[in-house]
Amino acid sequence: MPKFFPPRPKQESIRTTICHETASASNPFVAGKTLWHGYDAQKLCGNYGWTEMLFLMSQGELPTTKQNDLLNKTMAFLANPGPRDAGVRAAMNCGLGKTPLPTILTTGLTVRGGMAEGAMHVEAAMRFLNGRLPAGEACSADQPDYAGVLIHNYRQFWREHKDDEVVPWPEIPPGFGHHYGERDSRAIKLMDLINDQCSDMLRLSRALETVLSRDEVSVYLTLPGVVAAILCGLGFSPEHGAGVYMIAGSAGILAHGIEQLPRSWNEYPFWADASYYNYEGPEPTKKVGDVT
Amino acid sequence: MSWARFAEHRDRVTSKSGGWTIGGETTLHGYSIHQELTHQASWMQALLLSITGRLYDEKQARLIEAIFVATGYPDPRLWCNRIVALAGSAQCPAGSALSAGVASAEAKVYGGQAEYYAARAFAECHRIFQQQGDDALFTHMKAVLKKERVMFGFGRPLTRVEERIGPIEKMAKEMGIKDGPHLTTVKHMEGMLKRYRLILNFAGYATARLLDLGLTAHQVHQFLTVCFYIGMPPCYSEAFENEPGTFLPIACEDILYAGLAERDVPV
Repeated sequence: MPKFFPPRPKQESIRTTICHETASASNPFVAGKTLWHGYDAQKLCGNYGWTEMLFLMSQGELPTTKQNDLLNKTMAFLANPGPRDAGVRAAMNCGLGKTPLPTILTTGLTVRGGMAEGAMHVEAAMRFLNGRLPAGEACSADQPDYAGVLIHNYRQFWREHKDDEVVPWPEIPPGFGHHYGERDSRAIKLMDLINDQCSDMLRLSRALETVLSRDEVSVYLTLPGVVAAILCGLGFSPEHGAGVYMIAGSAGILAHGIEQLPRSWNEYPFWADASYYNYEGPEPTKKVGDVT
Repeated sequence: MSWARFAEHRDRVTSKSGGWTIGGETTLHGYSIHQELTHQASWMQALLLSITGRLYDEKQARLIEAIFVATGYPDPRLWCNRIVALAGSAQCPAGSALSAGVASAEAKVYGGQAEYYAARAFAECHRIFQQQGDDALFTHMKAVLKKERVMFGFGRPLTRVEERIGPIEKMAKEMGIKDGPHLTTVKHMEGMLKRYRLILNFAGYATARLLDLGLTAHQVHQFLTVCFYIGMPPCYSEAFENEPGTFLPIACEDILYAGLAERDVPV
């Protein structure tokens, strides 16, 4: 590897195991050759597709054909959350306001990151399934009624730690619940789609669902719950899984946001009529001078 | 909860905080924005009002405003500022660059999350100190340090000096603003933590002052979201105006690669 500069203190260097760029012979800033997890990037791109790169970057190894097929199907299923989704709507609001282009996508992704049905929820659901909650001891899966143990541990964790983070953990174990008040049909459709590729994690999720559906208020697997199980089964960490969930929806976020760009602001709802707006606060009679 | 619950909210925007009567009045927590706040309240008073629903007097708001000034360092080496500078150097528009900086400062190591944790920890320590006294507080703090290896609100990356607290303390004294109960407890904690060489950091100090104003942990977190903002625009502008890519460029050899050696691509 050509060296252009004298050594400098180690702490001022970035350390990574993912990417290795060898400088070209004539320019220290231009990469002559690039390795991704040891593979020549140029050769990889000629032989593999985007989901395989996503898997490689996150896990350090290429997926098997079956793993890649499952990841592809799952991401395709999530490709467009639709124009009623909060993240997509955020991007559409940017589009109609003619917000600079990159912000349309990043704004949509930010909103897709939340704890309610978003990436934080997927991350939480993956931690729940893995039995690795932030404040809890990891528990062995080799025990009778493992699903019951996980639920018990989650409820105890929630009682003691629900407010530990800036966004609270959900009371219902993450990955389970309802979709607009009923069983989440999207979860069932995704499970149908990948039925022949059912992993141990999805089987565990079904076992958890059986227990939770017997509760006084029955709850069921939701779309983020099924996605969490699939991504756990594929070997993704909760942090990577959350990111995969966000990226998967980016196709629809981008398309719907940009669709609004050429349109006039009044072609998108503002709910301008006074009858839509219900103010339930105090009358504006307070005076600044009254402050004590 | 059936879908009827969602139907109740369809085409219905509800607010307890205020809003805009199109073509008419705008209100914020019971104050008319244009008849009252615009000419009688400072930006800081209005910000505190918007978060807490309470209008604080000018003096208190001025001291809190000073907290924002004291920690607005225009140094692009600082993590959130560096993001803004990178965005400027990449010729990103100002809004996305500055909002990326603000969002990045919701950090556990030095920013917004640390303040939330500190607020919760201080409230608990204050409760123990008030109800059970000195020994119980020290026992509690030792247990926290043993378990978490950190006491949020104390300690600082890079240095054991905290230059931001002194000027605010001086200002508070000059303005006749006394330490509230949380700040008193936190200063007491700092004395106890000397043996661990942990200093009260500025986030901890600001958090204690805000708790003394009655803010909750979530309100402290929300309020301090923009506390580093003043340092960001200069970092953005300079990087934006310089030749693109010249902000701290990294040569290939500057990366310490610790991964696998080259291997054959399976085909």
